[in-house]
Amino acid sequence: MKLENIRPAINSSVLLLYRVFAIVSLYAVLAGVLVFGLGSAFYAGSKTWVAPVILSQSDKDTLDLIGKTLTTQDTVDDLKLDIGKLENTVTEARSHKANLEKILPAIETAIDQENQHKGQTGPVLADLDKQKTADVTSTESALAQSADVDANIDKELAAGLITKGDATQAKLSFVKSSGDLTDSKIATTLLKDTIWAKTLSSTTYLDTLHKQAELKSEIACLGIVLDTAQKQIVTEKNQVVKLDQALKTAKQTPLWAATQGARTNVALVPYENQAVANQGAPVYDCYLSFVACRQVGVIKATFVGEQHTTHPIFKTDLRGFLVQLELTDPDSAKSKTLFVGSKPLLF
Amino acid sequence: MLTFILCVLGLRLFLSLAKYAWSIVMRIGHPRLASVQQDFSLEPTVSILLPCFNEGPDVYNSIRTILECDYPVDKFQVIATDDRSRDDSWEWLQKAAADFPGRVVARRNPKNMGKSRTLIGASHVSNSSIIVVIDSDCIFAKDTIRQLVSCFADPKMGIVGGTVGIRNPNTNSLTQVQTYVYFLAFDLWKTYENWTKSVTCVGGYLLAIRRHLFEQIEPKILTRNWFGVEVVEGEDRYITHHALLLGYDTYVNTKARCWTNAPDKYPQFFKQQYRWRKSGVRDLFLTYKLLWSHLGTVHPNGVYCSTIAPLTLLTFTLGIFIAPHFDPLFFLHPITVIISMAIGAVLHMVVSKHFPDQKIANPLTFAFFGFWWIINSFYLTVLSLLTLDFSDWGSRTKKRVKRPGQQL
Repeated sequence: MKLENIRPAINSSVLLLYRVFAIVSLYAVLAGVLVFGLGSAFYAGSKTWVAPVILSQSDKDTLDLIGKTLTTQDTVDDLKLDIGKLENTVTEARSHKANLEKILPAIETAIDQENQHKGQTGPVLADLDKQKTADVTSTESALAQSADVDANIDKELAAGLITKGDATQAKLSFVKSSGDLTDSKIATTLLKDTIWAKTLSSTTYLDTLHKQAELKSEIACLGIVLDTAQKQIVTEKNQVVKLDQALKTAKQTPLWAATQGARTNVALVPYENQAVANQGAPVYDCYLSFVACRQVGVIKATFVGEQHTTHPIFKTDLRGFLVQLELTDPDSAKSKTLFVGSKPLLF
Repeated sequence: MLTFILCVLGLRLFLSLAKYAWSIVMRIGHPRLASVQQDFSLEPTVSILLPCFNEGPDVYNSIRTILECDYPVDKFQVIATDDRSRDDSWEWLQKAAADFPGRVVARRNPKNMGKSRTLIGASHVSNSSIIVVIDSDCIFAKDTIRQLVSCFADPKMGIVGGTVGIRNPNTNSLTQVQTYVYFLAFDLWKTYENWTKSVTCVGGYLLAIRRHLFEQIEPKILTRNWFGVEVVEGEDRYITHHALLLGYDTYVNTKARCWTNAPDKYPQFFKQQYRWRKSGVRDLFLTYKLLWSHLGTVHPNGVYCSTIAPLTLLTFTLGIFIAPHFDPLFFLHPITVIISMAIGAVLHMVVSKHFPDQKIANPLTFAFFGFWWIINSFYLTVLSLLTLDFSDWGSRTKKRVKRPGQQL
């Protein structure tokens, strides 16, 4: 059989197949375009759709939350420990400061009293010193005039004018007078030291002042330490409160429930559709995107806090908040969109 | 899959940009390389074949302007054939034959036969050495015929075409967009193919061919079919393609100019674009069917234009199909819009400078081209691929008009 003879039959068959394929394909394309166009228009105008999300323990977001929660809890624990240490430090510093503050007035009183005493005795002693110095001078002059007394005693003893006892007595008296003079000089010198100590700043006095200054400085430092520690305690306590609140909030989210191992059905409600997302509102799932719908559950809870996801139709960034769904048909959580409040097209 | 498509689209974009850039470089930097040696003393006999279907009075204007061309009167004639129009086109042809006796032959097909067979029928009436095919709604510059014929000084030159401009650039946004599209498709892009004298499609609005070459290709035209269904449109691309396969050069002389009325209504525009796209899709099948015949015969540039460019276009169509799955609003993406606007701005500057008669009043309408381009690539390519078993006069098809005393 020649090819040319069967070519018409082959052509007819191929043409028939081609036409069937073409008609089906063209209608499929047309239907696709129409569905896409209608769907886009519907979702651009609809105010009741939400985007379901299934949360599980192995989700990236869930794992992130676990990590962040643990880190936050560690931070809270560290802060609490630090606050305890700081509070102990404050107690100890406060006690030490109080003790030092008790010593400081005593020192100041002692210094005042001493200065007052010095002010009284110093001038008196200075006058006495002058008198004493004059006395010493007079005594020296008197002793100088009696420098030949010893020789005269010896002469008088030799001449027998006086007895040996009288001579001895006379010599002892002279020596005693010399010793008294020396004692007076010593006393004068000591008196000068005393006057110097009472009228000028001595090293002892300066030491006392130094100690007083050190004490004041230590008290001031303790004040700073106390102030800083107290402020830090306040700051850290605030931090703890905030972190505790954050943890509390995190633990109220559906993601936290997912971290505990439960499959959690939630849906992201776009802000423009938030009016319908109330607790207890019925949730509908549709067989054909937004046609032929049935109720599949209710909204169990709403959560604060902004969430982002990809728009299920337009693939753009979608902002909104999460609601927890209580579904009678768990498979509805796998739908691209769900509707809240009422059926989108009333059927 | 997505990576593959993105790679092909990237390649397509790169090749297209390279092609346009190369065209501009050739046009400005090496005009001689992008042109042929012309001999204006050549004056062979020329037959202007004017197939007509539902053109109305426009056909008379076409005949009048082509007859006003600066070419020896005794060396060219117009053979106008009406393919059983449903309007008054036949009357206008008869009027032209009466007004220009001896210079216009008015014919009428016994039944509607399509453009290809109408042309072949008209060619049998003529005996000129050069056949010029024109569209029945075009008007022509005075030197059009001479510009075309002068290029046949090169014996290897098989087909010479011209460029077509828009007569109604500012009618509405649709015609404004087409002004740019025509400039890109029928002028600038041809420079790239002119460089190697391997233009893959010389437009049927103005196509000059050696008679013996036309006769060589004629049997192929007559037997063109899609699994037994006769194909009657896209003959310009088909003729050009076979001329290349027979080893002839093809060329578009940008100095040979004519102007046409661009469709100003969407259905008409849709049909025109659909016809063009289907012609390209058919040609792609022909190319791959005869791929081995191209190698060694057609210049590699011609092979590239016939094989790679349409293939990447098909891949692009596939990309348009799957793009909504990843980003349904991709056509509104700022980059898409900015690229459209940038291309529009450049085209506006070029067209305004070189073709002041086609200056666009509102160049921002070019942004619209971006959307049309997506729809065009998306739906028309698919439609063309799936309707290859059907062909007609496209944009010229209209409902039969009942005239007084005429039976429909």
